[in-house]
Amino acid sequence: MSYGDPLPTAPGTPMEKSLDQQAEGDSSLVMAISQGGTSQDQLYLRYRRPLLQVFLQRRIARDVAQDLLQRTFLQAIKKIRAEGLEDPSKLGGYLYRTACNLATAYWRGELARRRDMDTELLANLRDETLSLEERVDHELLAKCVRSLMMHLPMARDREVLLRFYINEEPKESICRSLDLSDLQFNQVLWRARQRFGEILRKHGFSLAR
Amino acid sequence: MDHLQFKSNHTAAAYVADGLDTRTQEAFELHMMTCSECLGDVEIWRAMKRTLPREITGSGAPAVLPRYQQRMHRWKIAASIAVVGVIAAGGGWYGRSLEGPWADAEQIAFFSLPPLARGFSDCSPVTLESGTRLLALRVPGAMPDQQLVAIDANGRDLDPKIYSTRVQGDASWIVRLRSESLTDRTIRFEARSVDGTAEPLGCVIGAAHE
Repeated sequence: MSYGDPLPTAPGTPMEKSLDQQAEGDSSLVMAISQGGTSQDQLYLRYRRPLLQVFLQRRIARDVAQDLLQRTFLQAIKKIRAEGLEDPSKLGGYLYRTACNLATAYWRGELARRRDMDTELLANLRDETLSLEERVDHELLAKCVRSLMMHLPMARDREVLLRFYINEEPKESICRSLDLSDLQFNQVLWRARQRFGEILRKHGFSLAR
Repeated sequence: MDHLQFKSNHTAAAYVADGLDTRTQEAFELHMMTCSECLGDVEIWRAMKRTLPREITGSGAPAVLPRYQQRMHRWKIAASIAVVGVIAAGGGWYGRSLEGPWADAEQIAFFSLPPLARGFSDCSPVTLESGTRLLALRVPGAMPDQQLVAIDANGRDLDPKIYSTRVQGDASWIVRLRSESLTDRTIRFEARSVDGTAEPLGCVIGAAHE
């Protein structure tokens, strides 16, 4: 799978799914899991990448995030098999809430740390379930970003990226100090995103969008 | 909000930069659960954020200094942090320290947590020299209506008797901590809001006394 490809779904299904189709897919997945078998692989395939981002967004270290992902899926599978979901078509929402609760519990120190599964598990994951950063070598990514910074046309664009992402300065404050409109700020982001996509493509990572 | 709105607002970029309000973030995360395009954007922005060079030269190329200059540069940064830490800590600390049992400055160590090291996995080592009895720790990122709480490596709240906190004018906390509380252990800090949410603000690991 290339980056930017739609989220993997059951084999043979169209890539772009409507909300109804998504809900239907979730309902059948819940039913399949409740009947046992290996349907949990599909669950993992469909939801691992977004859930990983949910954990990373909450400043959870990657190795801990792997552990929390496991817990999220195990908790969901147990619940589905034991009592089912109130609304199986909202499986994604249920997983999301479970992940949020686990992240909160982690920061409150309510979870005992487990380290035994991380590396081996990650090595055995199917390629489609890995995020961009898990698939691309860190050095290569850093090289791509350096290339992006060198090729951005305006010094102002570089400053915007650094202030927004490294200093985590609010957008409004950056716009005010650089005299940028909302539209201009978004254009900077758009240009950076496009350039970065091109650079990744040059290194063999297809962004089929 | 639907997909087109998320796209046109560059929500994925703002999400990774922590620039969304709680409600929009939740809506976007729920959307991301089923939207491969937005998820792909988030992954790209996060990869970019993680690998962005910390500084750039005027020409746009990441600053690459000769090694000796890099060492000097690191020393300058470290010295600046130390000076800022000492001044900030000292300002908020002075009055209270005089009242405390250890008014001798030699027995107090000042330390400032870096502003971006917020995850618990990103622990800053603190080496306390022998004779140090008190640690003044500056923790950036104080917000109104938040309370700074120190917790141990297992996530349990530390006994409030062994530390005290106060907010400074530069939106940072000063934590006053007995040095033995940190010996060979990890202390984490989190900012708790009245609505029950908690934000990690980094941690320190006590190293052996020299």
